Amino acid sequence: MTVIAVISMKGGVGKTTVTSNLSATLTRFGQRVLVIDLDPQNALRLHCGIPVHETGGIGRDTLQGVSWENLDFRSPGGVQVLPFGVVSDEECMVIERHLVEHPGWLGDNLANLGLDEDIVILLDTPPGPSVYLQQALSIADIVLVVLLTDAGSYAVLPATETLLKHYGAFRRGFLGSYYVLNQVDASRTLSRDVMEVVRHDLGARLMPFPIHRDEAVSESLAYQKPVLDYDRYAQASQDFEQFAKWLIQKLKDKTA
Amino acid sequence: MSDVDVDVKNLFKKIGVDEPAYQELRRESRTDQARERWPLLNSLQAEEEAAPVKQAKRSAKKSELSRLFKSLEGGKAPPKEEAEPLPREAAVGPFRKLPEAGAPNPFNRLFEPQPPPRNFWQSMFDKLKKS
Ligand SMILES: Nc1ncnc2c1ncn2[C@@H]1O[C@H](COP(=O)(O)OP(=O)(O)OP(=O)(O)O)[C@@H](O)[C@H]1O
Ligand SMILES: [Mg+2]
Repeated sequence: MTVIAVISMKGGVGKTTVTSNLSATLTRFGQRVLVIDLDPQNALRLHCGIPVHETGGIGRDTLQGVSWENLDFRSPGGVQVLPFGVVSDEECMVIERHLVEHPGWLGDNLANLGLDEDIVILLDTPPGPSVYLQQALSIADIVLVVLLTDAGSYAVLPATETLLKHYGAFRRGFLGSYYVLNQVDASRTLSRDVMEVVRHDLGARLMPFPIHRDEAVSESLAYQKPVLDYDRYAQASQDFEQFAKWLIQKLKDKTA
Repeated sequence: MSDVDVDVKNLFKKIGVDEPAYQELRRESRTDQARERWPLLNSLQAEEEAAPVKQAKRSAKKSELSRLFKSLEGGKAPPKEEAEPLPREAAVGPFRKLPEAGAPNPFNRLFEPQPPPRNFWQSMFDKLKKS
């Protein structure tokens, strides 16, 4: 299996959107994908078309001390989903304490699932440093950092790099960390300029297909569908297709 | 490519500057223009360049930060001297106060072995486990 962590220093940049849409597009291309929500917000399930009344998830299972193998959620498009689950604030603190004491929590639970080698796991994470991010980075083969093309996102690049450097970026077998620009609006000078500067600074570590700001993305969420199913001709649908192809190539390079 | 560009390119050729170097210069000037339009982008760059370590490299336009970016490419560990922590001046945001080299990273402390959990946590965990 290949583990891909989707992270960002700033909130609301589109991690959950990227995780859900990328997983749906990869699945469309025949890749077997499991997505895991490591954010107590528990929003990923909504992006993946899981019914709102479902409360189960890895957070709940952790509290009850049971393995994750009975969690059987699947998006209509065929993505396997492990939601975080509905937990109270108090329960959330207990879970986080447990994670601090068990740094191998994520790796051990995944090993328990006995997944096939060809499965790709996408991890959605909360913004900024957290115990969840630490767990994700400690096992990730690839890290995708989501950025907006604004000055705020650019300002946190050094902090992001420092974080990556400290947590696992040089583990044996680590395939690399890449930046993904989201909500790019080419009609805005600032968006274009930040893109230019980031391209200059990051070189090959910038995923070469920026995801445009596209109303179809937010509309598709309101329909609980990936954008590709909501409007396959939308700009964002095409962006996610290119993104998925780029990633599949990276995975092929890995096995070669 | 405009006529002016072709002329400039030929001029560079005449004085012995090759095509990739010329393209690189064009790129640098586009990036500089982009930075100059926005005070924050510009000052982040300025702050990065103010760090003394990088002065020597200024002419090559290879800042400490972009070396760090490149060093992380493909997860390859950078050569020894590049593996040093970011200079404090270059770091912004939540990690601005980077520890001195060798000192534990504040984020790390979160994950170091903790003292035995207080009874409060244990009982809470047990309670939730049972419920
Ligand atoms: N490319 C896009 N075009 C238009 N809207 C977008 C795009 N990407 C994300 N959004 C919208 O931005 C909002 C935030 O997205 P999302 O919840 O995925 O961010 P996040 O990084 O996961 O947030 P958090 O840090 O809270 O977990 C959502 O309303 C989403 O629909
Ligand atoms: Mg999210």
